[in-house]
Amino acid sequence: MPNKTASENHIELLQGTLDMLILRTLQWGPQHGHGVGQAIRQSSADLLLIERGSLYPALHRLEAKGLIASEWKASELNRRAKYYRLTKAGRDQLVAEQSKWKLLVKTIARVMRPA
Amino acid sequence: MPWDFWRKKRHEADLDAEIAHDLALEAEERIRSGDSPQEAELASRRDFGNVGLLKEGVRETWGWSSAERLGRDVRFAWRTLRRSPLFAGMAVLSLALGIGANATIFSVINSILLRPLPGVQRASEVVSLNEKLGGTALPLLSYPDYRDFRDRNSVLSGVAGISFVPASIGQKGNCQRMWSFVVSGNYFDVLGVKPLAGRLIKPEDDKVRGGHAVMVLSYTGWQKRFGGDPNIIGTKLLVNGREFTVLGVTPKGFFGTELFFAPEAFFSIAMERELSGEDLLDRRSARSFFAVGRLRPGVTVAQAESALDSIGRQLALEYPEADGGMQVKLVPPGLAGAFLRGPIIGFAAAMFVISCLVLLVACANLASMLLARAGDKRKETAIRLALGAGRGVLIRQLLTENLMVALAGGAGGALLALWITDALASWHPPVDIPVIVNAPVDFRVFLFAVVVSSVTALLFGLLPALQSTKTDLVSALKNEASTGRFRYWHLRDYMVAAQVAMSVLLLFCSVLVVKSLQRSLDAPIGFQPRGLATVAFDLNMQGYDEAQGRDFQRRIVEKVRQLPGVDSAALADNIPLTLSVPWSPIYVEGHPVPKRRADLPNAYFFTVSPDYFRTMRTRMISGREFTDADKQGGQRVAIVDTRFAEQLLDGGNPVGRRFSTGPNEKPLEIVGVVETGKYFNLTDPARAFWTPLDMTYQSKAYVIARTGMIPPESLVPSIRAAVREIDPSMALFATGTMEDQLSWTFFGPKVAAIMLSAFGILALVLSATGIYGVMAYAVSRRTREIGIRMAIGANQAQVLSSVARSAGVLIGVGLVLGLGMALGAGRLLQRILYGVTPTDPLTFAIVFAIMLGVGAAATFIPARRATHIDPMKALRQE
Repeated sequence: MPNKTASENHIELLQGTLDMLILRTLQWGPQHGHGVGQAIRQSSADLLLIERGSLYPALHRLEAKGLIASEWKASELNRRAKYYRLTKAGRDQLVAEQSKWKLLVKTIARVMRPA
Repeated sequence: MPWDFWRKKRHEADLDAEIAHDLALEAEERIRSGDSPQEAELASRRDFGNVGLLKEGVRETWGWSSAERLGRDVRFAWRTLRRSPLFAGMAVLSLALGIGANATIFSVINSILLRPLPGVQRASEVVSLNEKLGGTALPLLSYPDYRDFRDRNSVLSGVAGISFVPASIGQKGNCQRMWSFVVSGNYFDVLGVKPLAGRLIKPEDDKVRGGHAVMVLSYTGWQKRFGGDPNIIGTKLLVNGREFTVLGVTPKGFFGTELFFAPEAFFSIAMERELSGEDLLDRRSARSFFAVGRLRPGVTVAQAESALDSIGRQLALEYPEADGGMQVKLVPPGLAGAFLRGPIIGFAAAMFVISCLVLLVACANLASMLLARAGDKRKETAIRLALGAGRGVLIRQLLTENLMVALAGGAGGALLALWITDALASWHPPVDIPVIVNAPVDFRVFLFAVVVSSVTALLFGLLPALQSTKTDLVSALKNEASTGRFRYWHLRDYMVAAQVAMSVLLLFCSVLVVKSLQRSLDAPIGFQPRGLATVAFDLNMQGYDEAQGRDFQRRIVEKVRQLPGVDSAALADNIPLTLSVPWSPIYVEGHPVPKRRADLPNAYFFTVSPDYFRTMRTRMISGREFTDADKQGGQRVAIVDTRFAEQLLDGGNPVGRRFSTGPNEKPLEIVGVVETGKYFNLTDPARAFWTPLDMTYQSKAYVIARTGMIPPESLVPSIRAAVREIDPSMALFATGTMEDQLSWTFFGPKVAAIMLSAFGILALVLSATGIYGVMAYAVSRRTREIGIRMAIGANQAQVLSSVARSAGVLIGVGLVLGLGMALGAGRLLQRILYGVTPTDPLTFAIVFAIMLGVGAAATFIPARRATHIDPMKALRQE
């Protein structure tokens, strides 16, 4: 692992937010499982480490719900990889989750830091 | 499901590829940042985490179909059970016994109460007409009443009349007594029965009295007596000395409308007089016909009953003498109308409750075994929980295991029930009438077994499963004894106590009933059946007229008296305690006659020859026996029993008093009094009177002979030979010893006693294995503790007592509970008990002793094993 110190002060994900993060990541375009994990790690500045043991079940769960779809394609290194992409339902779900998330953050911030 | 299976296969391959791809990318990244390829691969694998767990998590999201999950669980359960065959075997066996007992009783109930009458079209529409004249409702109507009900009602589409007659049927010189139905012409039409061969009796065969010498064979009669010969149709058979033409054969599986009675032939009711030798068709007070009707479409049983009841009221007004106070009841056919239905339902319900108790004992047994096993598997369970198995999954797997055990037990039980009912069907009760016990195991019985076993598994397996998955992982993994704290009462222990309690209850009931049977066998019945031989014949069936009959009777009794080994011999028209004892109303001279016939006192009566009381060993209390001087045309005399004298003659000397059996009958003068006995059954307190056979001729008679030195059965062939010497074509019945004849009377109590004993023993065996299992398990769990005790100086006796004490408490608690329940059950049993009080202290003592003995034996073996524990080995065990 490149950055050991970062992984030591990583934060626990809130229950149910992993799905939202995956959807958000896939908004930029189709990605395989490894890529999704890397993207979340990088965009959180190595603070969020997604365990594969959580990531893959989540991907499969989202696929079963029809929020994402998958297909096997050649990857950058000319390997066959399973690429996930957002579906229409996934996009709608992401919009809904995002506004809910904003409200949640605002509310919790208000409680934690009363004006 | 193959399709599903392949889909899953592909999913698995995809997942593997996905994981491999991820690992490869990870490794490449590491190589790029300077690791050696080997290092990179190892590190990426390490960082990747538990692949198995990941796959498990992903598989969850695929939504395993329940069938697949079940398949996996079943395979797993099968492997687990195979590893402990003793447990599996014991569990399956005890369940099979419990369910088998239950399913057998259920199949009997099924065939009696749930299944429609075999061979009858739309059997649910068929009802049996019962008359109630004061006392109980009986399915017996007189022929004129039957005809009126048939012709006046508008609620039944047809009513058929039936009477039971024995007839001597065969070819010349080879006649056998066969029980038959005499049926009205519309009988087969009303029931919707089609012939198997030839034709059946039709309304045209019921036009002229005595003019339809035709008969129909039942399938059983056709097979049994004529080997299924198809040429029998159209031939003539000799019936009671007269030729009858065989019209046809009824289909297989049709037994008429009585479940326990399989007639061999059917005759037209127009021939009643020729067959029974009595004029019954014009006598409104001669109640000897069954009547079954078919409801018209849209008419309910209640509507039909009220309509018929109003016809009955009308008849009561028209014929107050014969029908005064008549009420009509409709019941489902099959069990002699309302007469047997109540008692049989009661008995079946009682047996069902008892068999459920046995099943409960078996279930308690299973539950305690499961608990013990859950204890054994504690470490395994803890390891699986520690590795991340969900509690739900574990419980599901445990339940699957239980379900498999239960279903195997259910299958075993169903097989057992099949076997028992098969044995029942081929068994013939020791009576002269063709009784059939037909309780086939059908889909309902299997359904019942499956439902019972699944419910058992879920109910009795859930608790142990819940308990075992709620373990303290640390102590379990460290292999410590399950309960660090000395908790005295485990769930397991409750199960043992409950088992003991239920066994005590069952044992108590069976001992009580067996004792009651013993008492009733020993009770004074007014004669001494031991040492008597009997042979019976019906001279009307042979075509004798009265003069010929009297001559035959006189000659046969003379001949039998001459036989070597015979002390005395007599004739009687009926013997007590068989099913066909007639009774008569009593008009005592000088007493007012009540308005309603139903209010008249009555008594059983027998027609007997001189020497009867001496032969039967019935004690004379006062007066005299009948003699050869009591003749036809002479003084009309009778002998009564003491109960008759006390209850009907209001004290005083009975000898010389007079009574009659009908308002227009000539009176009978009492010349003697004998001891009171039993006449109809063992519990009914009845009275009786006797008249001389020579005075009132009866065509049916039993020859009764008392032997002195030789056993009675050895006399039977010589009596038979004596009869054949006078008339070689005479059809004989009821040949054998008097004790054979009485077996019917003791049949009910005997069956009850046998079944209760079987259930009691079954429960005892089950609870013995339960106690043994739990104690053996407890000892094995305490090995270390006992080892330490012995190492620091406990002797064998101390160890033994410490083990036995805990068992003693369980058994003691069970005993107390069981005896408490037994007190309650005894009160319920009181009605069928004879000569035993339900609080009989001796019974309590016996049950107490048996249970204590069994409990001690089941405890002793494991307790002894405990004393042989080698302290060194026990302590080194871990």
